[in-house]
Amino acid sequence: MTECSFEECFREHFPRLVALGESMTGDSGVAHECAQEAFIRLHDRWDTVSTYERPASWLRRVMSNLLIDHHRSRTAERRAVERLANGAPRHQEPTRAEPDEWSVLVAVLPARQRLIVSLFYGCDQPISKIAEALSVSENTVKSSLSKARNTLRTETEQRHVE
Amino acid sequence: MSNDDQLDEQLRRMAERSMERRAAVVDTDAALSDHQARLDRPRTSEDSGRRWLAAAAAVGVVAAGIAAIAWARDADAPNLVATETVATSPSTTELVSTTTAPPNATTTTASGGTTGASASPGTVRAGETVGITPAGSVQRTCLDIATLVQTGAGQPLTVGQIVGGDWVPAPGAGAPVTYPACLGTTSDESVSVTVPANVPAGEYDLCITEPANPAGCATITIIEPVATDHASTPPEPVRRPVFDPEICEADSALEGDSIEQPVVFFAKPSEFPVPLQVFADPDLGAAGPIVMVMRFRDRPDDAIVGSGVDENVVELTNTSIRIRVLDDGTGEATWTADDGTTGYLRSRNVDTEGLAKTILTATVREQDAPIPGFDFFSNQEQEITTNINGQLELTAEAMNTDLPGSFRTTECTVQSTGFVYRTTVLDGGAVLRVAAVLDRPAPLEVGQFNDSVIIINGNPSEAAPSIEDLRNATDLQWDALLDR
Repeated sequence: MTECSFEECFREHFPRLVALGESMTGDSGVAHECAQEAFIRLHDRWDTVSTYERPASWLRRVMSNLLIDHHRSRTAERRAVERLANGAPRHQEPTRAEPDEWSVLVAVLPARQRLIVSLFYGCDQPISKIAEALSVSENTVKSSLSKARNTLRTETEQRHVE
Repeated sequence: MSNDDQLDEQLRRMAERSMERRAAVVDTDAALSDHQARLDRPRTSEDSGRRWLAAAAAVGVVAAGIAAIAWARDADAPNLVATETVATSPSTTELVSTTTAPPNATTTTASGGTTGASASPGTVRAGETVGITPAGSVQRTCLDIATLVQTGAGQPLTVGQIVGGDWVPAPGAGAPVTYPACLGTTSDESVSVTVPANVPAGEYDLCITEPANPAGCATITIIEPVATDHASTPPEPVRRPVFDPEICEADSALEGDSIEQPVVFFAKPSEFPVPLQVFADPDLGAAGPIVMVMRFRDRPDDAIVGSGVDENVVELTNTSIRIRVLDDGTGEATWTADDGTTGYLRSRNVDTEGLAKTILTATVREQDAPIPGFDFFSNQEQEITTNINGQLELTAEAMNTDLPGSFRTTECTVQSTGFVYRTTVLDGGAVLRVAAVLDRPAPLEVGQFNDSVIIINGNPSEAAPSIEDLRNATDLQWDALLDR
């Protein structure tokens, strides 16, 4: 059972969720919004989740799903807008997170692979925990990680050459 | 150190530096204040899935600018700040007059169906996008939420919301209508809203604000979707699942417009209709940890799972429960209920303890109940703790004689391994979706889109196809696959 209060939990984990969100979306506003939503849900279920040894696992799971949901809705909207005749993009401009070496590198990956490598490399999550968080099999995570690693290897090698 | 290890180490250092740097610049005090403000905004606590903001019942209530009613928190919920109730002007605030609608209440637009915003196009097919231009600067609802108010004959009625691209029907006729506990921006810019494919056709007011504000509501007509000749990919709904041939080459397809009733699950036919009750995470549905509980009036021999299997047996006073959870995450359990009927459940990604808790809280219902299954009582009321720190709730129940649905299945082969994979898209209610996941070998992957569940079965492999690779077959391709 966790011994931290809700506020302590918020102060400890909120920045990490935002960092994960920015790494996944490159959008600081979306990252903050999803992290806030994750903590709203945590607040709703605090009497239960606070009994867990690692509420952070629960938070990461909720955050991961919020990020994936957001990505799906954004992608659907963008594609639909592009199909409209004379349709200039109408969605709001993202609040760009400050790019860094990592975010630029992983930007080439599909959304779910980006989330998986962020959890694996950035949050030090084992494959089993990532599979839990995304509700997929460990093999799916391994497969995605393998594809992502190959892409990132090529990217880093190209950058090295350049 | 191998090349892979070196790459892993390099990526790990880079990612950790990035995460630490990003986390370090987050203004936690401001975020905490924001969080507290969101909590202080009124909302209902009953809706554990999508949170809806309580809607004004009528414009007169809004105009009066009555004080907001504070969200009634659970007694055990963490209390961060003192709650204040304030009266604010409807033109500047989002939640003025926020209240829980009384039973049987409907929500009208400010002018009883008159809208101020414009829609382009005015008629849209389900699955397509409509642009909404508000009449001036309006306060958006957060996270891309739009609300549909049914107009036409009779009293306007809020029928549901489009939340992040998903269709979320209102909880039920007369049920409280609420909004989320957060807000979008205030702007006069146009907004694109994609109408999910499963929104019923009809004439609606589509509101990008709370429905009481006519400046954010536009009248649209939604018509039935049509099949497309163009291949498409998720997140648009996958109806006819295929992969690119380089990933997994399609061999054949099968489809069924309806499913024969009663539906027999787990090769356990019964002379009597079988009640089915589903526990799931409201946010994840069939794609998350799930339990389906059945109650048989016959089949007493099923009271023991796997004759000779003694592991994971829980013995209780006057009750024998047999539980088996396999390494692949699938589980089953059976027990004899107090009245001699047989309880049986199947599960995915729920541990022995979670299943035992479910069974221990089960009390038989009367046989003449609409769904004569079990009631589940515990301190947490119908909640069980799972092995993944999740939280499951009794989300749906039905009889096996009333499970309408349809399916489309394809088989494909991965050329590099020769492995065959079966992908099924099943449309139906929550019970059918969960049952479809459980009534087959442990799936490789499960996804849920609106009222559809997507299931991939086959051998685990690094070359195995994934749901994110799926796209829709063209009409020609699908017809050819059905003929094989």
